[in-house]
Amino acid sequence: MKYYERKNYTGLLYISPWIFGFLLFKLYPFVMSLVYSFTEFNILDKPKFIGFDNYIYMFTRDKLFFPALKNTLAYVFMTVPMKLAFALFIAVLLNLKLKNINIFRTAYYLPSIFGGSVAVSILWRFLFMKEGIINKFIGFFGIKPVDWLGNPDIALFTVSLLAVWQFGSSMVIFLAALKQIPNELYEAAMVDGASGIRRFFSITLPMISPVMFFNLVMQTINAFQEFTGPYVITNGGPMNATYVYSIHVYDNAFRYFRMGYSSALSWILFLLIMIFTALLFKSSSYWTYYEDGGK
Amino acid sequence: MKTIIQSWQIQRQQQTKVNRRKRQFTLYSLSVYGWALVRGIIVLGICFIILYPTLLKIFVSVMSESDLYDVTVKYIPKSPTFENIKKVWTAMKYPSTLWNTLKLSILTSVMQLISCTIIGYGFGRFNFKGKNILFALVILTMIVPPQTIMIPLFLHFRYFDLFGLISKITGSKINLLNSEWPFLLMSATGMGLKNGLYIYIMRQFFRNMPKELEEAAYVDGASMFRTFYQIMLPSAVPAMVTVFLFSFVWQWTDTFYSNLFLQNVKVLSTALSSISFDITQQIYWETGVEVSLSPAVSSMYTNTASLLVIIPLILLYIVAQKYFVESIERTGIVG
Repeated sequence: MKYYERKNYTGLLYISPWIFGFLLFKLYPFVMSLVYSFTEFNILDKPKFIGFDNYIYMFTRDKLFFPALKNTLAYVFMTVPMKLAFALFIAVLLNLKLKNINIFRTAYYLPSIFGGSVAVSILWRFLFMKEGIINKFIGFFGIKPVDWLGNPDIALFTVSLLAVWQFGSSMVIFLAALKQIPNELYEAAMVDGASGIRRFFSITLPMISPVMFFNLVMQTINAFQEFTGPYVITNGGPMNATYVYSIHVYDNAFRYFRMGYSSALSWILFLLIMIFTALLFKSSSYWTYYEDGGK
Repeated sequence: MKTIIQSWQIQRQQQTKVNRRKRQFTLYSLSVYGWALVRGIIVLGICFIILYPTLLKIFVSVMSESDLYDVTVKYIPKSPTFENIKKVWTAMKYPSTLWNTLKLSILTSVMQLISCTIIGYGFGRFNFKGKNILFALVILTMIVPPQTIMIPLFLHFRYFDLFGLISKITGSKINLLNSEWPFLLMSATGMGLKNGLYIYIMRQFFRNMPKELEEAAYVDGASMFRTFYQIMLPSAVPAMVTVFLFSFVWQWTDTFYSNLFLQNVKVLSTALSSISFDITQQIYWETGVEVSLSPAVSSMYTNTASLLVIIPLILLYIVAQKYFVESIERTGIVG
């Protein structure tokens, strides 16, 4: 008994760096940003308490707030399904016994290694320029050049294609899950005369639903916070078509030095991500399938 | 008579069955080969889409300005030159910037590896009051957008003070910006970039290890810390490799914290943002002429610079690709 008591205190000792860091570098800034969100604050002068004015301004007079919100939601609803569908499609292809699958897997994962970095965003801008390679390429098939980044109607789509291009990590996770599905299930279904498509929807999808859920949550959180891509590729333009929410937060902080207002904006972003994540978790019990009943 | 007809009918039926099976067989094999062909084309085509932009970057980086405007030049430059690379190399101060980046990435990833392993072990193997709440907080830190804590964190390190201790001793608060300290402090306490995910991975790993392993060590009289670093750590190496590789790569490509904490010190990812400006500066120094780069040339330079940024990562990936892909499979880490 005494041994286990001692053991448990040791556990606290192991995580003590985390507790220290959490208080100092997460909780304190987190609370402070809530405090700042009720102030007018330009870093040089002391914060001035102004109550809910920042939030009122945001919802009533800020002309960029709703467009930025709309763009971010559009980005999330475009990127996440496209990326996951593409990742799953490739994973299914690779899962069919194919020679040298590992080479393809390695190649496919390559873009993901660069993450949402500036280098990749620059590459994207370069590819989709008006005189860029993509236009040269489709010109080859007689298609007129498209103004990928200059046309407000498709600029956000072009930017979100970058995230889809980095489908590697989701794909590898899908692939690992696909390999786990016992072959007997498919054999039984084939004996019963189920078609390939039917097998996919009735066996494959339910069996990988927990992984689908994991990917969905992670990618949704990432997409809400997306900053580098839109900022570097189009800098929010054209006509604010790619002006996503996190650019709005960043600009207010480091361009206009409205730290208080920026904090208020970022708190709305946090609440938004919280709500979406909670909704995903709530909905998951309806569509994820766990063999052991989810325990 | 009847039996003859019957046997004939049976024979007939069998014959058609065989025929049908034969026909089905050819159709079947045709569809198999067709599908394999389609699949092969798709798989290779996507390979092309993936690798093409990266290859293109390499071609463009050795193009001369005349190649850039030449419509007949699509991929292979007519007059290849290392002039771009040279210009970008000096404008970025590549060797020293590379060294800065390497130093920062290795320091933070080693720190994060140590802290996340220890913290993950604490969460994975012990039971103490409030453990579940604390672990829920670990997960919650993943959801909090970095933008939310950006401003207070910036001020925190600008006027750094440990619970009022430092200003009592030295008389003033210290400025930790433009040094490695913000990165080191945050990494050492498991608060760095995506560290919630690493703690989660390590905890999952330690949780799944058999209890008997630990108990046997205790029975043999090993202390708790000795059990940790002699028994548990060696078997945790695969998970630790994962954490190390990903924290290295993500620190390398990170611009968020680098922009926030390092305004004067250049690392590769931040040097990239100002490359066009740096090159015009450099030309001004060398020739005394103020030039403005045309968009095409400017984008050629940024492209070359971005190639220089990711080349070390590509090399790392080629060497360690097996670990990368395997570790994603094993741990479900998401980039």
